[in-house]
Amino acid sequence: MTTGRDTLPTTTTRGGLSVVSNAAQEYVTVRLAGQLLGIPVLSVHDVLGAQKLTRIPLAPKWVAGVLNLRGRIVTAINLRQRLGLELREDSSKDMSVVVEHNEESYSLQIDNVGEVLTLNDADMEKNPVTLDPRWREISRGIFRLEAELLVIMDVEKLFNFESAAAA
Amino acid sequence: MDDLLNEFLTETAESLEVVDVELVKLEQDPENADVLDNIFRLVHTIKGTCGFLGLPRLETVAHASENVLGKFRDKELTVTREAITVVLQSLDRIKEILAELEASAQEPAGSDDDLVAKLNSIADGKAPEAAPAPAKDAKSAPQAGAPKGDEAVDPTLGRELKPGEVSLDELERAFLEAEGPEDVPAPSTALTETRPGDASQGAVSLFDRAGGADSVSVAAHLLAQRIGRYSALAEFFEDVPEDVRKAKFTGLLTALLKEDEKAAENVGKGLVTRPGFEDRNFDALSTLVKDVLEEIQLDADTRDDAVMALELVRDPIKAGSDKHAKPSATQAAPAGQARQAGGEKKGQNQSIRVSLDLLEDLMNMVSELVLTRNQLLQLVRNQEDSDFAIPIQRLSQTTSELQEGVMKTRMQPIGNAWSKLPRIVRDLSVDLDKKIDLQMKGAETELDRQVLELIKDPLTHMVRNSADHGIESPAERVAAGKSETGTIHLNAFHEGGHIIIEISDDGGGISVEKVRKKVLEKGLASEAELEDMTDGQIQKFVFHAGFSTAAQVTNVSGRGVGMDVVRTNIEKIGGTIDMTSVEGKGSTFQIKIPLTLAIVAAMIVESAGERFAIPQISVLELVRANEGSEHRIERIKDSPVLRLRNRLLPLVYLNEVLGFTTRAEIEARENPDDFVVITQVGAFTFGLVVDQVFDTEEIVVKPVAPILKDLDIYSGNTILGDGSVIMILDPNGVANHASAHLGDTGEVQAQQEEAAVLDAADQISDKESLLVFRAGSAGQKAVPLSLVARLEDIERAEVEESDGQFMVQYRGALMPVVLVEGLSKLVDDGRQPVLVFTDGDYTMGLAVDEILDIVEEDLDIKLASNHAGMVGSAIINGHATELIDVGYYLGKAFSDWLRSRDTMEDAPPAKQTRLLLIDDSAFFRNMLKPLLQVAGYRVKAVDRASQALELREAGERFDLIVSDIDMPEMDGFEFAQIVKSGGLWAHVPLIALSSYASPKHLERGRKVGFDDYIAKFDRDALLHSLSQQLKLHGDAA
Repeated sequence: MTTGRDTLPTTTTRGGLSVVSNAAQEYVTVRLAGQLLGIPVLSVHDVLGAQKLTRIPLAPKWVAGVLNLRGRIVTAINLRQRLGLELREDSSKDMSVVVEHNEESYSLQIDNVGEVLTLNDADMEKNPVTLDPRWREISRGIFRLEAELLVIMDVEKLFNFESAAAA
Repeated sequence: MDDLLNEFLTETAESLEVVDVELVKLEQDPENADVLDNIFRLVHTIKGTCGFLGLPRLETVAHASENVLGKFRDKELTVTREAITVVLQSLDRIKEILAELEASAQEPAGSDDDLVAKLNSIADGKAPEAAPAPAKDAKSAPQAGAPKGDEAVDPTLGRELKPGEVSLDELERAFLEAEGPEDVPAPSTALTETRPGDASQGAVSLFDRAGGADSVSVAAHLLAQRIGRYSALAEFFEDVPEDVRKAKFTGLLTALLKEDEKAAENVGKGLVTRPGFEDRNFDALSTLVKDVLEEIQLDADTRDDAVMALELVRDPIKAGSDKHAKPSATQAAPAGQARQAGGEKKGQNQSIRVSLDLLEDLMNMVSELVLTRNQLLQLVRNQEDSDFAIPIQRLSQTTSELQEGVMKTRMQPIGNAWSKLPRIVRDLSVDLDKKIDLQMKGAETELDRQVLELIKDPLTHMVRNSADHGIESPAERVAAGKSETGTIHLNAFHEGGHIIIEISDDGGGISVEKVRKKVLEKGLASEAELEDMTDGQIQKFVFHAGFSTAAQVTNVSGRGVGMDVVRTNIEKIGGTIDMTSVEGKGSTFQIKIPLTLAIVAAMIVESAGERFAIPQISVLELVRANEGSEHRIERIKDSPVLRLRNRLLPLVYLNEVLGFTTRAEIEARENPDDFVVITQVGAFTFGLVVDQVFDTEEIVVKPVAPILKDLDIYSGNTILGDGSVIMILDPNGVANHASAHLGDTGEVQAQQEEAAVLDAADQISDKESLLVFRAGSAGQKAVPLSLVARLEDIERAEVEESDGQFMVQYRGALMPVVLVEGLSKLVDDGRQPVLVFTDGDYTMGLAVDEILDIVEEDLDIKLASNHAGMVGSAIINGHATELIDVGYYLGKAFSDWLRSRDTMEDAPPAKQTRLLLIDDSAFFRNMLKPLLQVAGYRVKAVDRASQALELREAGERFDLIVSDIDMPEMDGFEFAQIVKSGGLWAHVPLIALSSYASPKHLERGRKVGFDDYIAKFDRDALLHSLSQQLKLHGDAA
C-alpha cells in the first residue's frame, strides 16, 4: 500500500477545512498507543504492512532493526520507544512508514495507518506548554479534529537522537 | 568552457604526475635526452593550455620552469640537484593552484614572484647572457615585420603577451620551420581565384567572422585533442606530440580562414607526416573540423565556408603524406608494415573517459542484480524440475560475467598509488642527506579503485617511514659494511583473491632494545612479559597506538601518528599487516588486502536465532566442539579456551558479546554443541563461538545507516538470497568488545596466546591423532591419522589379483592393496576395509580387518620393533598397540618407493637429543617423526625453512637438524647457508635429506654447509648419519 499525493480527496472532517487554500497541507495520520499523529505526506515515501525485521544487537533501544525494502536496507525506528510510550507486547504486526533523512531511508514503526487529511495551515495550533518535553520537541503543532487531537510530527526533529538517547 | 576547464584539470594533473616521476629520473640520469624532452613537452603543454584558458598565475610559473628546462635541453645549463628541487617546487605550486582552481573554478589570487625569481636566477645564473624564455624561440625564428622576443605585442592577439605565452604567429612559425624553410607571406585578405563565391560575403574576412585568433586557438586545441579518437586519423597523428599537433592546426586554420592559399598549401603539405593519407581520411578530418567549429559555436555559414576552404588543402595534405611514402622504392614495404603496426596500435586509443559516479552507479546496480540472482537461484533450488532452471542458470552465468566486467572497470594498477613515491623518496633523501634508491615491482597489479584510494596514505606513510627511520645515513651504512645507497623495495602481486604489497628496506631494522625501552617507558608491558617475548614479538609493538621510535620528531615522519594508524587504516578495509625486521639488516612489511570491498565472501553463522555474516578473510578455520568431538571447550579459571593442535586459543561467545545471554547461562547449558569460528584480527587469533554455521555466500556489503555508525561491531549489512537482511560482523569490533568483556586488551591476549604457543612448542608436542585398527592377530594396531589419506570399504569382488599382488580400480587408476603383516588373506566376500595412503603419485591401500577408533594420545613408544613393517609399540587406550610403518608397506606396494632395509645397527643416541626436522611434505614428516622418535630422538617437525628460522629467533636449541632440500619459498641450500652463516645454530650438525642424490647435489650440499647428504627413503643411512654426526660433534665439543 503506497500513498500518492494526488489520489486523495480533500476531506471535510471539519466544516472550516473543506475549502482547500494554498496554505493547506496533506498529512498521513498514524496511530500510536491510541494517540493520533500526522506526518506531512511529502515526507512519506512508503507505507508498508507488517515486515520481517532483523534485530541489531547492541544498537540503541529505539532502533527496532533493519528491513528489506525492495532491495534497499532500511533502518527501522521504534517510534514508541523514541517517544517514551509504553512498548507493544507483540510488535510483529507493526506497520512501517518510510521517511527519508539525510538521503537515508528510515522506517517508523507504528501501530497502524489511518487516512490522509488535508488541513489548513492557519488552523494549526501551537503546542501546549504543558506537553511532555519529548513530545514538544518533535511536535510541529496540533490540529483540533472533530473527534480528537492530531499531533503533527516534525520528521527531521525525530532524528535528533541526543534527546532520544536520554529517552 | 566548464568542460574545457575540467578536461584541462584532469589532463594537467596526469601530466604533472608524469613530470614528477620523470624529473626524479632526470636527476639520476641527467644525460637522458628522451626524459628531458618528455618533461619539456609536458610542461610546455601545460603552459600553452593555461595561456588560452586565461590562467596567468599558472602560466607564469609554468613558463619560468619551462625556461629552466629549455636551458637544460639546450645544454646551456647542467642538471643539478638544486635546480631540480626548484623546478619540483614550481610543480608543487602549480598543483596548489590547480587544487584551488578545481574547488572554485577560479585561479586564486596570489603572487609567485619568489618562485619565478628563483627559477629565473637559475636560468640566468648559469647563463647570464641568455634572455628569458621567449628569446630562445625568437632566436630560432627570425622574421621581418613581427617583433619577437621579450614582452612582445602579439599582432594577432592585439594585447601584450604574458610571460611565457607563445603568440599564435610563433606557433605557426615554429610549425612552418619544422616542416621546411617556406616563407610565410604577409597576411592577406585578398580573395583567391579558387573561391570566387566568397566575394559575395563582403569585405569581412572569414578569419574575423570565425572569431579571430582566439577561436582558432580553441579550435586547434580541440582538434589536437580529439584527433586521436578518430580511427581514420589517429594513426597519422599518434606519434605527433599534442602541442605540435596544436601548432599545426593553428597554422592550418589561420591560413585557411585568412584565405591565404599559398600558406595553406604549405601547411597542408606538412600536416601529415605518414604515408597513406587518402580521401577517406581527409573526409574524416573534414568532419572533425566541422564538429569542432560547431562546438565553438560558429554560425552555419561560416562553418560551411571554413569546411569548404579546407577542401583547398585536400591535395596538398595527400601530397605531403605521399612524400613520406616514397623515400625509395625498396623502403616501400617496411613503410607499409610500419603503417600496419600503427594500425594495430590504434587499439590503445580506443578508450573513453567515464565519470566515476557512473561506474559507481553501475557497480551498485550490478550488486543489486547479484542479490536478485541469488534470490532466484534459491527459489529454483527449492523447486524440482522447474522450467525456470535453465534460463536462470544462464542468467546467473551472465550476471557473474557482468559483475566481473564491471569490477574490471573499477580496477586500477597499483602504480597509480605509487606514482608520487619516487618524488617523496627523492625529496626525503635530499632533506635527510641520505642516498636512497626506490625500486618498484608489480606496479601493474590491479585492484579496486576504492581500495586503492584507501591504501594510498598508509603506503606513503610506510615508505616515508622506511626512508626516514629505516635507511641509515651514508656514513652509518658504510660503517656497517653496506653500500652507501639504501634501497627500498616495493612489490605488489596477487595471491588468492588478495593483493599483497611488500615494502622492504635494507636499512637498520627495528632496534629491539629501543622498542623494549619504549615499551617499558609507556607501560605497554612489564619487564617480565618482555623477557618471555621473542625479538619479533617485541618489534611488533611498533603497531601499538602512540608508538614511535624516532628519537626526534622530524618533519618527515613521526608526527605523532605511527604504524598503529597504518595498521588501523589497513584493517579498516579488511586487510592485515605483518612485519619482520632484523636489526642491522632491514625490515619488511607485508600488507594483505582484499581486491575489492564491494562483494566479499562471508560465512553465515547463527547466534540466538539471528543470523550474522563474518567476512571469510578473517576466518581461519572452523571447529566443532561438543562432548563427543575431538575438540572440547575448556576453562582456565573463568576464561574459556580451546586446544587446537599446539595452540591455546581464547574463546569469545558471540551470544554473550551481542548481549543475548550471560556467561552464567552459557555455562549452565547441558551438552553444549558449539561451533568455533577461528578468527584472526591482525596478530590476534581467537575462537568465536556460535550456535550454528550455515554456508558461505558472496555478499554485497552495504554500509549501515549513519545512526548505527558508532557500533563498531558491524562492518555493514547485506541482503541474503532469501531476501532477509543480516548484519555483517566486524571481527575487529568483536575482538574489541570481547576484550572489554574480559577486562583485558586484545594485545595482551595475543601475547599470552603466543606465549602459550611457545610453551607448546617447547614441550615438543607428543600428542598424535592415531587411527586404531585390528588386523590379523588379536592385538590392536595403530597408524598416525595424518598419514591416512582416506578410509575406504572396497567390494571384495572388485579386488583382482595379478602377479601375486592385489589390485583394485580406484579413482580411475589401479591401486595396489597390501595386507597388513599378520593378515593372511582378504575377506572372503562382502566389503574389505582399506586404509588409503598417498604420497605424491603413489597411492596404496592397506587391507585391515576392522577400524576401531581414532584417539589422541601421547605417542610414547615403548618398544622398538624388530619386526618388519612395525615402528614399535605403545600403550593406547590401555592396550598395547603396534604402530605400523607405512613406509614399509609403500615399499612393498611399489618396489621403487623404498630401498631395501637392513636391521638397525647404529648405536642409539643419548637420551633427549633434540632433533629438528624440516620437510614440506606432511607425509615424510609424519613418517620420519615416529621413526626418529623410536630411535630415541625428541623430534620437532616443521614444514617450512622459515618456520625453522622463527624457532631459531625464538631461541630454541637443537642438537641435530635434518632438512629437506626441495622446499617452496626457501630451499634447503638457502636454509643451510643462513644457518651456517652465524647465529644460534651455526654449529649444529646439519643433514640434508633429498630425493636428488646426484654427485652434483652432494657437492653443492657440502658447499653450503650441510654436514651430510642423505637420499630420502634411506632410513638406515639417515639413522647412521645422525649418530655419526652426533658423535663427531660431541667429540668436538
